[in-house]
Amino acid sequence: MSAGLREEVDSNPLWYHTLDLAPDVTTPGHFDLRPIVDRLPWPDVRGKRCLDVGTYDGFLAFELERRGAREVVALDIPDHRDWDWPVEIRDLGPEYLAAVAGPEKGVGFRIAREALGSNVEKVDMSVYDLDPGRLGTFDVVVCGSLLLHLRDPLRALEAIRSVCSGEFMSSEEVDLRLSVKHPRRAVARLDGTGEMMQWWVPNVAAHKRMVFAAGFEILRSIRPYSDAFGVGHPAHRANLRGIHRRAARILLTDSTGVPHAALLARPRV
Amino acid sequence: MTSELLDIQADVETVPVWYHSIELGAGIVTPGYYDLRPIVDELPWPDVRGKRCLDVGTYDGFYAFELERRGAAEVVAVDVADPHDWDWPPDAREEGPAGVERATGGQRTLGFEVARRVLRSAAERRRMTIYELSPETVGRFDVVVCGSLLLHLRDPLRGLEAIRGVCGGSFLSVEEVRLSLSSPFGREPVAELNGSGEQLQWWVPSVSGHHQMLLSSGFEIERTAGPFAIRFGPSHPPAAVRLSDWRSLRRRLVQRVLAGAEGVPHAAVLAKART
Repeated sequence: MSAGLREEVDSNPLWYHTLDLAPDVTTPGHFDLRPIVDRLPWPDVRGKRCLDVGTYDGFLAFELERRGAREVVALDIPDHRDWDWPVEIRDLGPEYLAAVAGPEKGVGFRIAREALGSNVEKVDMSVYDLDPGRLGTFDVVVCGSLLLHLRDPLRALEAIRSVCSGEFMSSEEVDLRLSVKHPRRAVARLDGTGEMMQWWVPNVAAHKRMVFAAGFEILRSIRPYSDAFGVGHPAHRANLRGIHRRAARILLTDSTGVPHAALLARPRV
Repeated sequence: MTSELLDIQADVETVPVWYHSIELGAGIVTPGYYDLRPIVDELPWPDVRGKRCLDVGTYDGFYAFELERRGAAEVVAVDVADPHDWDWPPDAREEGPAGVERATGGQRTLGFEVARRVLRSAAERRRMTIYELSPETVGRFDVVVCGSLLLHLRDPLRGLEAIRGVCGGSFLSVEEVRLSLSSPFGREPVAELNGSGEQLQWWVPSVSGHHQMLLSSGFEIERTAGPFAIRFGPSHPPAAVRLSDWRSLRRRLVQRVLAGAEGVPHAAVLAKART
């Protein structure tokens, strides 16, 4: 049985999440959230209706289910063209992604869902289009590592608020240097060019401010941590600057990887 | 005073709040919130003579009339008329528009109309948000000017992309910047987020952050100017001066040194659409 599953896993050109699908089958993800998943500020999800926004291969959606959610809806865009591409790669970006991740989006999620015997319902939709009229409201919404890929993260957070009747857990990449330099000021770094497909990367204070500005109040937050790179992530070239950065990361987040901050919030307006 | 001057003065006084200080001739200046006259010649103006020009977020029209004065062939000025169309933060969405209506007596476009009439301007004012700019709605322009608008937008990059869509030549962008985030050494493309309350402020960038906004919206930068201070006019409530507050003193000192005067720190960029 595992042999067939392993073949399916191998057939997917790019795994984003590292997922344990069977005792001896783990997906070779770009990112491995397993080491940090229990540190996230989870609300009680038992018996709740839950939504995972920007699910990709579904790590957080399957985790919600594992933690006892009654119903889990997982949202993602159906097509590489639906990303917020920066102007200068708007034409080439989708082709590039199709080449490295395969022309069809959502293959990994489908393989994982079946292997796990999961009941998570996948919905093809952009975060911007979330609307209580279409999907109803949710007791718990989670969203991870998505806002940096959005040109208008505040519009997305407002859309999330519109369908969130209970709690919202947000975990996002943060800029550590800006967090140390400006511990209280909400400052974000803007890219918006090139194939990294990154727009605003906030410091810890700006992550909180984004969620607050969208009409949430913050209930609790945890200190920054790193999303570890998985075996599927391209190796990083080591150089002196890189070593500095890695040392700072290990010091501040206990691990190399992509620095993140996480918080739990609920609607205030 | 001649009766004509008295008429102009009476017209000026019919406007509940002037945003811009505008010279209407014969020594009459509208009592604006902001006075751009001291810095207008510092801006990196392109040659506008004979050109089709657009002023985005015109309010009382200072830049639109300046474009005309500098020889533009045609000037279109766009602005939202209804404060409900502004990008209000969710926690100010109910109270914010009503507050603006109260302060302006519901006559946000009156200043532009009075100034336009007195100046015998041919600038054409159209009701439109920056987001609605497109070649289909307004055509294309040789020169686009936009001043002190981006900080009021939830999605400034969408606004700039809309401008790029109608800009066939030069774009003069004059925006508030955070001096305390602007390093004179090296690039720090950052912005500070507010996004709450009736001040209606979202992202205020560093000088490099302003440049990065333009780059990521498909512009390339040709010339820059500033930072400089846009002075408060007579309508602006006096800034709170707290001599006991060290941080406020330090901020004012930094501003004096870096921007040359007190007021709202701004930076200006002349850009053109990258192809």
